[in-house]
Amino acid sequence: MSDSKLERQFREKIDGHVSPIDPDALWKDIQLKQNDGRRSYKWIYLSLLVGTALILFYMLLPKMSLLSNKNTLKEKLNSTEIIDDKTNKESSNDHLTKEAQQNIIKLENNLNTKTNTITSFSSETNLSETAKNGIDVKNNLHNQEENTKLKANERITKNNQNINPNGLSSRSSQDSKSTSSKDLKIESLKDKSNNEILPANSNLENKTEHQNKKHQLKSQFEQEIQFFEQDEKAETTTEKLVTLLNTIPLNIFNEEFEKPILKNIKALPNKKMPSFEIGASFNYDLVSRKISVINEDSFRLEYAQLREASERFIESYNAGLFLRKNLKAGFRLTTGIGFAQLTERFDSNIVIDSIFIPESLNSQNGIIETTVRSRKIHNRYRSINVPLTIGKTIRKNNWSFSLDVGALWTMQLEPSGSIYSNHLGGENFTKLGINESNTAPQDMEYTSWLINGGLGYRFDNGIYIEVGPRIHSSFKSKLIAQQQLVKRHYFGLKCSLSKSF
Amino acid sequence: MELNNIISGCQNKRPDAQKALVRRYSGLLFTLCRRYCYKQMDARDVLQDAFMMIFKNFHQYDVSKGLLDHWLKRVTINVALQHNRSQKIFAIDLNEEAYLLEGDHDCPIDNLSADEIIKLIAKLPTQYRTVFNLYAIDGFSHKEIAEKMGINETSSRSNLSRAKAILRKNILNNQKSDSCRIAN
Repeated sequence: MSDSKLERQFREKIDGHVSPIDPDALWKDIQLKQNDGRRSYKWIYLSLLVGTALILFYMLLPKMSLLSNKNTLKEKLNSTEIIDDKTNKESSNDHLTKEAQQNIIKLENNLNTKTNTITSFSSETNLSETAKNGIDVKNNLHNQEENTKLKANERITKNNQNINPNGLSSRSSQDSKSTSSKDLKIESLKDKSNNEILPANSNLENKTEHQNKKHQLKSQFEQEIQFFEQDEKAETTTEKLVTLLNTIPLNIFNEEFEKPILKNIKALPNKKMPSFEIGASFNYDLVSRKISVINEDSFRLEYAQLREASERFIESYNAGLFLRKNLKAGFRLTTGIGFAQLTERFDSNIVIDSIFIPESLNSQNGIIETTVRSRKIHNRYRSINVPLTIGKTIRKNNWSFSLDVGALWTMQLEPSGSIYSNHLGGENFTKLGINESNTAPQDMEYTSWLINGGLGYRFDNGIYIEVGPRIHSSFKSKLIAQQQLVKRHYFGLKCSLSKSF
Repeated sequence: MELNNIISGCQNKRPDAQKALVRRYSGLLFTLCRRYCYKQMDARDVLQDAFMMIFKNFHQYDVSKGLLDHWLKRVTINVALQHNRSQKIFAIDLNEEAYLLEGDHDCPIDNLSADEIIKLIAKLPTQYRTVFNLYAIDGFSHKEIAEKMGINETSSRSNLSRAKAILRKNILNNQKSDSCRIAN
């Protein structure tokens, strides 16, 4: 028979032949696959959205929480009201202006009181000498007071020049001499208040500069105290010191309190459950699975039964990161992302060939020899998992027992598989190729229920270790290639290490 | 549903039209898939993928350029070839020389049914089966086959002759076993 004749015969025989197939079942499978594809995209977008929200939540909330804690502690430890820098500066500036004015009035009153006392004393005595002396005393006291103020002004001006090297307070000593002592004091206090405004503005531009200026202001305050202690032995010293104290912005002292307060925050015993925890987990699962087939033809049933009989235990590893929010009354909310790998191993004894072996060369009789070759199939499924659980924790000292329930969303990554055959004979199995037809399709996604138990220990440094059993299983059976439906139950052990913040 | 309605419905991605297309052409295309696949269950998977590809690209079908059957077959063949490429299981141990027959033997296939012939073709090694199907049944030239499969034309011719030799041998074996059964 010629080649062309053979080809023609084949063509004629096959042409237009319709193989029996259930179109409704096929349509159902097509729809299922189409829906799977659509849903997987929807889940990817959704998980990205949730992930972004969690990251933002993670980044912003701890800062807000820390700020709130810090403020509360400051309020408790210090009666001084702590507000943010900007508000503080603004209020202290207003406060300072008022104080400066009050100080000026007080100083004026002091001077007038002293002058009046001396004047009245001299007038009451009516003695010329005494009056003369009284006037001298008055003048002396007046001069002494003025000298004192001049010295103070000189010192303040000098300090102001040091504080403000750009010459904002650029009065010369000659100018100060020509100006009355009251005016000088007023000017110096005004300059001082102006200078004290500067750190508030410059704080935004240069924090270091602001700190330096604050130190200078403090040293100025100390110098003034010393000065008044040395030169003013009158009973008004305390009052003046108080007055001076009032002229210094409060935020200088707040700075002093800041470090001890932070120390206090760290030193506080950690009796409360930390608000957030971030950690890593590792799970090892043994998997029990049940295979069923959609179209129960004999071949598929046989294949499924063979798998059921020959499949050894399946193991799965999962490693991931998680974020936990501890809620009130011992409840906790956990989510994260993990990578899992599941390996299944089973035998597949496939009839490869049937050959007729005649009894002799010309004999029509003979036997049909069927060659059965053993095959071992290893399939690997890799997936990305996103758990979301809510749990309850019971604590006793540093120990805690917890139980979490929730859902686990899984997206299948590219599967891989290998076929090993003993086609060369004996017990040696050699790799035949990649088994792609036996593995589940990529991008398949499904949801499982999940239960975690755990016994944990929290160290004083915030590290928390938890070990416990976990069970999860998909809600529905999953369709894999060759019309097989697989339902897997995972029984495993979970270990996690987390750090609270 | 009329063919025109099916075509316009599929172009608009209407599920009822798609279902009608599946009902109408699944048997025909399944035969094609069975010829290209070694295992029947793989053939069903290929057919499923082929329909998904057809629905996705139905807007590309131009009524003026040919019959719908031909376009559907072309798409299905491409999906089947892609499947065979991804399968990568070519290392099935077949002692080719044992199958090859010397000389020109008479090989009548009149007694064989279409289903038996399809099974015989499916038993061929993947590459031979693909070349035989493309050339002998689906009418592609060696040049086209070489392009589709990424081989040269000489290989295509060689694969075709080997495929035919194996088929002849299998047909003869089949007949012998049949006569053996009758004798018993």
